[in-house]
Amino acid sequence: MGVVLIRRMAVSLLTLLVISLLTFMLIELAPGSPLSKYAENPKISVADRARIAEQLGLNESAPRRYLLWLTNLLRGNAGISHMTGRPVGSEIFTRLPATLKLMTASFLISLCLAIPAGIYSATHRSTAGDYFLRLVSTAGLSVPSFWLALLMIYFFAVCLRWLPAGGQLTPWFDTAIYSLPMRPVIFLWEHLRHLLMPAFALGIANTAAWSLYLRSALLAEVNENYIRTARAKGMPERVVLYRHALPNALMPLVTLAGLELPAFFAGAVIIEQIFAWPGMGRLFLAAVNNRDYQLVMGITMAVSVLVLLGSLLADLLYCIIDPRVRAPVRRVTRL
Amino acid sequence: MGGGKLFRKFVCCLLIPAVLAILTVACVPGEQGKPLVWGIPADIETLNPILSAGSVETDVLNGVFSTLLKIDHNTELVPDLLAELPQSGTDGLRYSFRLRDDVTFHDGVQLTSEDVFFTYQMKMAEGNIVPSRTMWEKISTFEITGTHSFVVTLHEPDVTWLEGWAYSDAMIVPKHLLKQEFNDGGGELTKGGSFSRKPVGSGPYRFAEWKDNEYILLEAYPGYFRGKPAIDKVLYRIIPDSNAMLAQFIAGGIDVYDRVPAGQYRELAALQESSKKIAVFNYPSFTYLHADFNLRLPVFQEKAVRQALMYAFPREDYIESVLDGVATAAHSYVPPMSWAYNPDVITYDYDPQKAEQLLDDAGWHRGKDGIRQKEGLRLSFTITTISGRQEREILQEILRQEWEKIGAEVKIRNYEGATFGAKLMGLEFEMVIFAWLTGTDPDGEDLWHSRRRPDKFGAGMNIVGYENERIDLLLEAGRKETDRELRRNIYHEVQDILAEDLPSLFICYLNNVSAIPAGLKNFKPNSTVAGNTWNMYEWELE
Repeated sequence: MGVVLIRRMAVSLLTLLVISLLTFMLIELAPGSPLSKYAENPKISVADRARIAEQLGLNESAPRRYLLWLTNLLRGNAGISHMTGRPVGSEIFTRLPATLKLMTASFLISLCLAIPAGIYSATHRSTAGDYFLRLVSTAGLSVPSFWLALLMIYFFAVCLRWLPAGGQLTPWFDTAIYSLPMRPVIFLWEHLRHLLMPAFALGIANTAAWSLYLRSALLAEVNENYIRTARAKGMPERVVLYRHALPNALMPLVTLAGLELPAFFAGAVIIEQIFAWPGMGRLFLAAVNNRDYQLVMGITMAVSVLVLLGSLLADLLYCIIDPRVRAPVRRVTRL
Repeated sequence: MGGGKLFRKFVCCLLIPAVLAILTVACVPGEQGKPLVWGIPADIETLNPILSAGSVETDVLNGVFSTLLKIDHNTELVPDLLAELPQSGTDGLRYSFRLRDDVTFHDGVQLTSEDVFFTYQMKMAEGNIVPSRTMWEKISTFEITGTHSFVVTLHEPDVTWLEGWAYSDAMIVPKHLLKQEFNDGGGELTKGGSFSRKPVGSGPYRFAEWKDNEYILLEAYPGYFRGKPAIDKVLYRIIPDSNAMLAQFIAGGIDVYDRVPAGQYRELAALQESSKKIAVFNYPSFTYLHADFNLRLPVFQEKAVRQALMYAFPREDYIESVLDGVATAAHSYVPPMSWAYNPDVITYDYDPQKAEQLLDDAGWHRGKDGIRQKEGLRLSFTITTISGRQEREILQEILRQEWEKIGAEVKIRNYEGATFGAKLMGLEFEMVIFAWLTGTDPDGEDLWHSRRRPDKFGAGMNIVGYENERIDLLLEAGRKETDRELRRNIYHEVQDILAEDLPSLFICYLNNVSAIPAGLKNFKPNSTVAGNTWNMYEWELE
């Protein structure tokens, strides 16, 4: 296990270096610059733009800027954002909790919905309930999350007024007007109200995919010999299903869920924009639109680290769940 | 077996979120202590006016800071920090300013001419990344003549210069607070500096709280020189998506929805009809949409071609059906609410037959492929604009279809914002659709003077590459003339020539739309870059 860990970490570091180089090249190759936002402002003259380019150090050569960025990063300095003038690290750490909160909630909602739905579908194969759930899942996979988000805002925030249309918290929300024992409850409700729609919109595609995945995995497992043996031994169906079939069917889902992290972040870019969620996805979009190179690099690296950690965690979890995986040869075939 | 149970459990899982949602209805935060909530569509980068590039930041800065002058809703210059309008000689070169003596910053320190001079110094300081120095570079000498008076002399006469003092660009910052930060930063102010995040000004509201990407809260300043504002708190809520902004407005998450996109006007107008709780304003702005020719290309050399293209554009249909009537036809770069607007300027009503006639007369005849050509040159070009800006992309499509009917070949090539900006600055376009936000002064030297061609002189915004000696003379005279009547005549002629020459197709002035609570009194929409919070000290909420 230790060897696996060290080897994976070494590969991860190399991957990060390649990601940073590719991202930098992509930004460099894309037209536009941090000054492009001034193009339609006649008050900002050509001379002003030339001066600002010099002040921002945009006139340096690209390889030099990359090396500078990399050496600074190794010293623990991810640069300064052009947009906000603050260190990239602090920008990311300010926004990270909101994104993590959203992603965790979304992940939990997805799991809580996908696992029962998958089990039900598999155990009630070809019944009306199974068809219905599969229909819903397919619809969930096909519907673009931004459209679903807008639809939810329209129904739940505008028509029914049940949930807030966006934001992490109502800015003028104050628990002080409630009685002391009620305050923690109200505080929790207030957070949940805001979290519900964005988390659901972000997780809908995963919920659908995971439930369909679990259904087929479970169907494959129940036809295995060991299940037949268990049934032959007279075990109750419930035990056969939950103690024997389900853990095996869930294993591929762990890997799948681990690899879903980038998809969660990609989804968060859109969802955070629509729900005015103050997270990293929105910051990333603003950074790209403003060609804030330092911030784009910083966020890409932060997300890459998270993704690599996620897949590393999935691998380790795999090792724990399935001892056979610890053998390197078996592991390759499993993956 | 356990299937039924499982299903029940599954239904329970689905029901939990629904039940939570229903329960939360009972816990909606109350309206007690709710500030006036103003929706802003973009994140704020800085609240230091020395470094701010304006736009939505102006909405907040107007609360915290003051300017020497203000531009009111009638686009007239009025004193703000000044006791009276500045005195200038007849030469438009030297201006005397006298400040009010009852103005204090939010920390109680009095505002003096030292602070104004310091603001000028900060704008010109080498280390500061100041977006525009145009107005400050015109200053030759700045002489402090008293605690509350100073005299500014310009390098050359320019009557348009004064207007600059009315915008967020020229908000006065406190020397006693910023000097230290400037020195500590090694001669540099940054957006990440403490003043950028916790500004102290002399405006009607003082800064209270900034939650990143969420909101900025201002509180009424009791020591404001016009008296404490009637509304205690104003909260700027950041909502980047316009659909979400509309939803927030309807659901009560924001009270004021400013900068409403044209596509949402009808919905808001209908809402105003049905609820009577809101008021919707629709008024022309100083932003004009135009399609610029690259006059360096042989295909656009002839005036007849440019006029024919203008005749073949159904402008009224475009304004009515695409922009929902939220625009005003433009026949020059000077908007109808300007004192210099020329109502008798030539207009080009939709007339495709006349367009064909003009092209025929000019010797552009249809080839075998139906495209007109003259001496081997085909009437073929590419139109570029920002992708994703629906009103511009539809305009592009209309132009393509209409112009193909009169024998032009039109290709479309669009870019996203930053790339588009780079192409525009690099003059890499054949025809380009975008919008300029102009000042209230009719001066158009930067846009139309031949000396302001960036490709030849490295400065200016004459990106079309227009050259006309008469226009040059008129624009130079217009900047020096102090008599408004004489200036009016000058700019009338400028508009006549431009409408005849058509270096650019003037499409329309985009209207601004703002929706506010019906009970918000003294909200006076301001079409200029001063923004609609320009007079927030006067607002009252019934």
